[in-house]
Amino acid sequence: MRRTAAAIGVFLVALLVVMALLSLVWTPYDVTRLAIPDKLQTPGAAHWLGTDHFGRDILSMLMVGARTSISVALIAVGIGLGAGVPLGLLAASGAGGWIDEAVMRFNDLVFAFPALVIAILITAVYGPGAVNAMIAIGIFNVPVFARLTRGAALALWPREFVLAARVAGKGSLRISVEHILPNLSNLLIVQSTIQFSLGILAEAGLSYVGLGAQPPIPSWGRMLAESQTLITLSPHVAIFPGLAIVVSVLGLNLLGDTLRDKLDPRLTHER
Amino acid sequence: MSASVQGCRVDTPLLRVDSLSLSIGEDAILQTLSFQLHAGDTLGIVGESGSGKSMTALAIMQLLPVGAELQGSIAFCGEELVDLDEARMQHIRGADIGMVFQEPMTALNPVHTIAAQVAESIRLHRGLTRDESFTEARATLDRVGLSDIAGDRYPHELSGGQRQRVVIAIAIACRPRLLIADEPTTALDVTTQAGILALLDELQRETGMAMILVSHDLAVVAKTVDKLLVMRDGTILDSGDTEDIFSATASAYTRTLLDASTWSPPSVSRRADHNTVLLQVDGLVAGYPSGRRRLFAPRQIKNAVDNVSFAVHAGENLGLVGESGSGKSTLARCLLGLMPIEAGMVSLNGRTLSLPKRVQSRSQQEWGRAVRRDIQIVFQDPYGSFNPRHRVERLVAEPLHLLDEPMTRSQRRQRVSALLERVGIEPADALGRYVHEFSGGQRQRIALARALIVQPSLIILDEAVSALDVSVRAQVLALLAELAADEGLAYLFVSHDLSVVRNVTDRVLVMRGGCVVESGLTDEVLSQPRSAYTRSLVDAIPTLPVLT
Amino acid sequence: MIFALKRLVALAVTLMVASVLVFFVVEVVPGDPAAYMLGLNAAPDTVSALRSELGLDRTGFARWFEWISGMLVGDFGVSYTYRTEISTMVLDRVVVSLPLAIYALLLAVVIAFPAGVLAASHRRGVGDTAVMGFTQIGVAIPNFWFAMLLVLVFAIHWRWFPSGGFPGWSGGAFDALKALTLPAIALALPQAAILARVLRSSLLDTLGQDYIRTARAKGLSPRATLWKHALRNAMIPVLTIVGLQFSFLLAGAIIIENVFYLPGLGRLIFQAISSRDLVVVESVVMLLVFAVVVVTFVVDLAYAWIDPRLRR
Repeated sequence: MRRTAAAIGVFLVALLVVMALLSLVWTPYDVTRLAIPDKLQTPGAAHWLGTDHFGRDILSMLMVGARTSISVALIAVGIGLGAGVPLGLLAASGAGGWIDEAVMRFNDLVFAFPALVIAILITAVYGPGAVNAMIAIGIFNVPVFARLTRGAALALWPREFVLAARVAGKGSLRISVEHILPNLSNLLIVQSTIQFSLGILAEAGLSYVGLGAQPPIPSWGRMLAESQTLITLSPHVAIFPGLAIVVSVLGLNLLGDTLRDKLDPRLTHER
Repeated sequence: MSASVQGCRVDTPLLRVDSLSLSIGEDAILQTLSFQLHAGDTLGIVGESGSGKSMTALAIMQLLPVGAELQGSIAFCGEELVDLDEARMQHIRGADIGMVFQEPMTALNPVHTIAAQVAESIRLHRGLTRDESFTEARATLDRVGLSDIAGDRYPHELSGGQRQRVVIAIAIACRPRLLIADEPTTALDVTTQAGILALLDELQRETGMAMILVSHDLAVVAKTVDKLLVMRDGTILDSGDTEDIFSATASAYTRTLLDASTWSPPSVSRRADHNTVLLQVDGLVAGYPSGRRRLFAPRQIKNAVDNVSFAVHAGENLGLVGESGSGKSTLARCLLGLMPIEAGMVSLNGRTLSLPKRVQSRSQQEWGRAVRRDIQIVFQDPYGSFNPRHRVERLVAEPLHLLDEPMTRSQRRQRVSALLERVGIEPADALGRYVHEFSGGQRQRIALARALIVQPSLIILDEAVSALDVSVRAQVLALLAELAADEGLAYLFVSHDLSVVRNVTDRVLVMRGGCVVESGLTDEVLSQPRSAYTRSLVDAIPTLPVLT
Repeated sequence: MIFALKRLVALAVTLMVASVLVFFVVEVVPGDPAAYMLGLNAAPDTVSALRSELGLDRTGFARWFEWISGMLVGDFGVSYTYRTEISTMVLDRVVVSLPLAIYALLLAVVIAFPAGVLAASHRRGVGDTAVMGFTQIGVAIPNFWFAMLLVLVFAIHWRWFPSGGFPGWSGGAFDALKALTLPAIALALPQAAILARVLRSSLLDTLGQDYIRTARAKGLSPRATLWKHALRNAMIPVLTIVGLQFSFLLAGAIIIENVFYLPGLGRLIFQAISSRDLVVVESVVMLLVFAVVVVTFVVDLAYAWIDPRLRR
């Protein structure tokens, strides 16, 4: 059961990555070319997944859309890791001090905002687009990683191997990098896959309301938005982009669970 | 409740275990175990970690972990417990067999009051109303010595010893005919331990219930039980009357256990040079801020170490004894600059050191460098004191960070290898490995190598042998004695275990509540304690009958 | 009591700082709010008229103070686009959003609890495997896509429910609830999947604790142990998630409200953002922050009720 789940996870994620990479060099059809005569074709030999209302090949659009999803989610996770992990390490190394207090209050503050509303606000005020979507989603990853890192690091600081490093004359910065961070890596990898899949969902939501990647760049969320009025006529236009999202997120979650079991971050599991 | 086992016939043993085998997956945990117990008997099961003693206890309770496979027979009053119907077993558990566990801190449900947890067991088996069961629970709590503790208190409001009494109250609430106590005192201080053992002994005599006392410590069980079972690797090595086991009939392994518990190293006092003061501590005060820091109120400091003065002489073995909360570990950490110091003076090799008031301050950094080249430490936990992500070479070399000029890679490797060899670890094999591949004893040797690498003159042993099995402990203590003799090292031997301190130290300081209550030559302090507290500690040491 | 007071102070501070942040992001960072609201083609005198209407000639601090003290007494200001009191607009929308959030949360809890308990009490069994499989898919489904599928099946194909719109409460609760049912299901299912997983893993953690063994040694059955000893201890992480989900459902229904054309808070804020009505945006965002903070406060109190160790 567990093995099967792991295999499915690895397969789905690999499929997602291969589709995205392949789209850089080749897609079955050009996604920017409109071919109205071919519109709304059902899946068949010429168009495996059919065509949309502009006659564009859905499979090709899904492949290019995968690239958008991956890049937005990846950079959003990068923002979360890049800012959250140092903040968490810093907060834990001066535990009880004002840095810790400030970081934790900042976290509470960000958590107090309804994430989706703020993401919509940011993309609306600063202009819709993939870059602002990355930033809007990334901001909410910062407290997630900061809190996780701080909690796990706090559990490590009183450990005797950290005391031993202090007895060896090492400062708190060095200890954070040499001793704390390596012992958090498993936890961070697992959380990253979770945030990555949440990022894909968030990107889909934003582009569904028109605030993600802008045309002509295809994105799964916008494909769904455009298909909404056609759903009775041609359900396949709405079904395939949705399936693409489900399959990607499912694959990433299964992969995350597998990593959690394999890497076993129990060492730092004291929250 | 008529469902409970009615009195069994006089000639039937209360408990009869017959060729019991237990395996979990591929691992054989117990192998054809047989023993029996009559009503009112007391049996001690002794063994080192992994001997299967706790699994034997859980097998009798039928509370084995998922995936455990049991073969053979456990008969309680003639009724077979192996593969017994779970509903029937639930009538026996708690009613006829009670159990006390090792870890009192986690054995109680944190969200229910203590009276409710005792009453639950009573209500379950004796069919009383809610009010009756609480009255009965109150009586049981009184019985285990908690008469001054209100029943509506929650577990986290009680000390470890008090919690263990609550666990005992739960176990005896329905007056079982067999009580199984699995390492009931291992997590407790010596004086608390003595109290719990006395309580168990008293309850057993009073009610005439049979008792199985499981422990890793021969001395703990020796006084309390009539019969003894020594286990190793899932088999019984020795069994019989306690007195017989202590006589010459025991197996070679049991003799090593006995010897280890009473082990005495070659005396090191002759080496100590009482003219050269290595470390002088005067009026040291240190503490933790108590509670949360408030914005406008001054920080409250609770003194964990209060006005402590002492000296360590070159090559001396000084014991620092106290129960948990006595401040002994805090003192050790202050000496290394791992904690801020509020007041006092410390001089090392005749040089007075400025004191760090804040742990992350500049003066702390200087303090650290000055002190740690001369004072190093070995911690208690052989598992937790190494970064699991680093290899042995890097771990042992870590304190070289304290040296002013960096070493080349090959110099470093040479030094690490020499030290590993010195502590009895084969370097060629060990350098590239992670610590989890080593046993507890080996890890403490590696920790010792790490402490030695900067050639300190004093090593603080912070409960360094407490987590080790007795036979391994003896080997590590022998190594310590040997190193002290060869290198002229001094030790500050921090421990809660008086029996170890008695055997290996020249002088001893007894701490309580942050203060030194007594100090002097170890032999004198322990044979003729002047303070009442030291006397109670000495009296609480579990002792083995004198060997013939 | 002291615990509750402490939390109340923290709540007030969070709200204060959040209001500064909202004000800053909406009114200071984009430059001139009046020019932003009117767009690129606005005549200069229209802009200056709006500037004086919004009081932009005063300092930022004075404007922030006026805004926040107004909100404290229930005066949320006037919408620029609709020229109506924002408080009445909000009230109109809350009667849709709040019932929807409660409806969805109830559904989620009702689905998640039996599923989580079943999975945890039969670990690795058939029930556990099924629950874990379904929740794994439930977590991966974007709720707006799920909503579209629901509409396709239950509104268009079978015509059991309306495909969108909201008749209001005046026409009877039945029709109103009927209109909210598909949106509530679409919102609830992914949340139920998350909740069931959290409950399961929290219960499994708790079932591994020493005091569970103590309870079993007393003679309690596995089932009684689960209900009497494990469940309450396992509730803390579950409550945290329920709290987060309620806040999410209140504001995060934006997309679902769009799918079903429901006149809720989410759509109000979305429309305000699109029409650049900054006064509405900042007031409604602040209101949502207030809701989140209050829910967090209630959850904190519930922690203390569950776990005596937290009553300090």
